[in-house]
Amino acid sequence: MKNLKLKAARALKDMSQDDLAKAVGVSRQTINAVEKGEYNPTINLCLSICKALGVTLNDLFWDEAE
Amino acid sequence: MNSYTIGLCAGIMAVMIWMVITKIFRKNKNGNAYDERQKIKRGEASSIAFFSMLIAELIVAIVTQENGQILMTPFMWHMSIIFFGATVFGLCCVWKDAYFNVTDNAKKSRRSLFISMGLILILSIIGSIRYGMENKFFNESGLLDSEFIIVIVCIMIALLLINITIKSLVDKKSEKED
Repeated sequence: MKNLKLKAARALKDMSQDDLAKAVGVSRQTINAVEKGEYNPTINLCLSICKALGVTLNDLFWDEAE
Repeated sequence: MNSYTIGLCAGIMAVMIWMVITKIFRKNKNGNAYDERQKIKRGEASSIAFFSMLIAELIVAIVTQENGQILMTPFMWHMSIIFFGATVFGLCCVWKDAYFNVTDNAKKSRRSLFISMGLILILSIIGSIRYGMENKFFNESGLLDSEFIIVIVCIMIALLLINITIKSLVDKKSEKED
């Protein structure tokens, strides 16, 4: 399932996938895979992404529909 | 031990020493080189390469058991299978974006890789043509001998270069969409 919340939060911060990837220390393709829902990140990577974007885990990774 | 075997062993040892030195150097400087997704994908690539080699070795074993030595000498069969496994690993890593690590500058790495691989490809093509013209590929029994490795290297590098080029184009498209 696509993670549109992550894409939106990144756009809000005016960051490209490459900028976010550099901020959290992963490759751009990894961020792309997380956004596309092709890769489930570990809790450590989730936390790093949240810190880099200044949001909480719930904001990005909690699916209210479930 | 003949001079070819000594040269081969020396080459393998030199590569192993180079790999150890590079690893030590990288660990001290940058820590983990691949991110968590890349490590998983490299693991999957290793697994695919391992089973590809296993299947290839099995096929060769059955065919040679049934028909005797065909096409290549035993040394060449084993070397071909090793190169086959390395190629499968490389192709899988490139396609899963796990070939270039996070700490590398992707553009710089790709450029230097292209140059070095291009040089090796040109040299191996020249070598292949020379050996071919001198008819050195076959031994007295008409089997492909160790000199044929150069052609296998050519095929391996050409496949990797084509794969990296296609992947770079796909990546550029995805980067633009972002």
